Amino acid sequence: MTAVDLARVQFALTANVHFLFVVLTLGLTPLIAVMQTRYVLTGRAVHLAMTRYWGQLYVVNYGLGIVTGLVMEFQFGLAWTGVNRVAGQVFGAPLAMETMVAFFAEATFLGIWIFGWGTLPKVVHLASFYLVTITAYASAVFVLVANGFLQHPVGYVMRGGEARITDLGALFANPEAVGALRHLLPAALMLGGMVVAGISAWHLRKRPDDTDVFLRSWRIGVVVGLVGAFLTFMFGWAQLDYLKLDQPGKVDAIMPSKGGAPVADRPPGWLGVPFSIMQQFGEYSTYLGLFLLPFLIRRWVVRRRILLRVMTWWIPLPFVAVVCGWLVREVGRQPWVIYGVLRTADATSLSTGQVAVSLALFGTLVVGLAVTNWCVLLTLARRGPRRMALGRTLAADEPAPVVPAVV
Amino acid sequence: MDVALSALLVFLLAGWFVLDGYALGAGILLHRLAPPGWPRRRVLTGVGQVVLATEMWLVAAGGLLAGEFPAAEHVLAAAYPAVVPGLAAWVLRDAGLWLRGRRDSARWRAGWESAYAVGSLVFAFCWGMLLGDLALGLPPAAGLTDPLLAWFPPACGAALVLVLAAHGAAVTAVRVPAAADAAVRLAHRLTVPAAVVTAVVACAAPALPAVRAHLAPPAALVLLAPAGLLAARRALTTGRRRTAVVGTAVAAAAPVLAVAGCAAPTLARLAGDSTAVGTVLLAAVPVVLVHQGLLWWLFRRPVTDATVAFF
Repeated sequence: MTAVDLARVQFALTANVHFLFVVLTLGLTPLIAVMQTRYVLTGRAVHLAMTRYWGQLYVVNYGLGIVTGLVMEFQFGLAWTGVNRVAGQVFGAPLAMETMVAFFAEATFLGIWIFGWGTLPKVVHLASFYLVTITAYASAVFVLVANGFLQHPVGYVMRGGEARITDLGALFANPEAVGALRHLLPAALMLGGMVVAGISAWHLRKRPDDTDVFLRSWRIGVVVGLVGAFLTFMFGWAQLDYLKLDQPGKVDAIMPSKGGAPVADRPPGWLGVPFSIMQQFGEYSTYLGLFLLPFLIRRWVVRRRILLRVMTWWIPLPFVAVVCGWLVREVGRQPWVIYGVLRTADATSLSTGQVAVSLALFGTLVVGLAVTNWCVLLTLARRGPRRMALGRTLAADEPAPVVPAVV
Repeated sequence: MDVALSALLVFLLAGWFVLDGYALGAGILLHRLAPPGWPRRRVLTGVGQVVLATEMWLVAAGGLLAGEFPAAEHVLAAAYPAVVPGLAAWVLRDAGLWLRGRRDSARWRAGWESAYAVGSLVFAFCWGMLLGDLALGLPPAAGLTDPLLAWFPPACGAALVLVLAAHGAAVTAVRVPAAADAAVRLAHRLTVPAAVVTAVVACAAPALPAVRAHLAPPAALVLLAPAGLLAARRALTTGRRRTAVVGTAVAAAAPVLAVAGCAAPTLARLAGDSTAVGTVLLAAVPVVLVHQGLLWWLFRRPVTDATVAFF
């Protein structure tokens, strides 16, 4: 394998692990914001329990999003120096804005949210989570604008072999960025909804005591999952309109044309497989969601054990679908790293040995941590809302100090 | 605008050393600051309240580097022997903190506490190596293959570990009353060796021709490190713990100010030429200062029974 191949493997590995955690983060935030809003408005314990239960899963999940994000951020500078040399100023601009404008605030308000339980006024505490939600979605916008530039470079001019921004508005209005956002944001909501519904289904089968918490959660999960799946499906197909013009090779790889002229720069033909998995998953998810609609009424779903079991086993499928989506989008861009501007083969500068060392190091670290974190999430999810990690004071956990008896 | 953006990069880096330097220092000394179990959790809670915000200073510096100084980003690849282990250590530190409290098992906690401690130590050491490497003008393989230079980056690494450890202890003394006695003792004991090592490294550096070639007046700022450490020691002797934090904070920021200060003219030359992007980034600065200030103001009180914990 060459240095480029190894660097691509490292990128694919870290990007996908990062993506799996970040998509869940994006999917859960609005749901938790709704739960906490209802708690602040009604003051009812069930909404507090829901906020804390899903909130702790969200926070634990968030950690891996951060650490894999660190590797992602510095990987560009380490391995893909060609991208910086040719288009650093353009590609890097939305990433710089992402860190300064969005992520900085997101992490800070998340810190305030985690450690402000019970000490901040309820409304202020809720406001900090709204800010987390808004900045999380702003982050997604900036990142997809950067990615959109790689897919379909616009708003720039080449001067002295280097790309310079000429039109920041065009960079942000790039159809490859806007179209991807319209597809990905509902996909994140779909995934978040399906995870919430699947875990709730497990609890509805196993723990009749917490039916109130999990029936409410299940309903939110089903509705959001269905709406998300439908929109993802619709906006996914809508992307083909401009892809046919911008990246004909990608379209030809996922839906081979019969008897047409051979397309230049065609990515590998196996892309049809992830595309078809993703597309069929979207279709079946919509059917499942529609089938579930009547069960939203009263407590009809509670005794439907087979249905609940199916929903729990459904949880991994949206994750598979988003990875397939990543493959179609990113592998489908090959052999270009910046479409039509810079070939992937010309974009790395490290030696094979250096990339191999960094792949071994970060590959082990990232995969090991991801598996560990999923195990932790599973334990926390199964533990239910009885003993929660979020919003506990030190005194609540520490044994009371032994006071010597006064004689 | 290029001057303002370069100043912003230096400011973010210096801010990171002062703020996240606390988390790193507390990590390096974790096993000495408090015994395992609840007392140690208090030390980690002091860090946990702020760590999400403190590490963002470096994330933002990285973003700014990528967006406005892409030509300077080759530093990362050129200083590969310091950057790759440093980045891995950063990941390990965060994971240690994040996962430590997630399971009710003494072994699990001890394992992730060690990950946090080792991650902090290696991260601080690698940052020292990177600064030394930059002072040498980025020789091949970080100068580690050149017998004349090989001692310098590791010496910088060791100096930075000592400085940040002293800083972490000084801040812990203020933030975590349960560990304050141990923290004051450690800070007091560490300031002299940290000051001596930084002073020796700083004075020996100009003897290297590679360093002399890049020397500029801001390099003298590195001498603020021993001065700050000795001032912190005096303050601790007289029981003024908050003043001691000012001293160690100056010491934590001094090395990066010296190195980045020498590089500032180069940085200004490399800055991106999009006014729109620069304006957005500079306009974000007051917003950043407001939410950072808000977080520190909210969590200004020392860690007590009523403090919310998570890690």
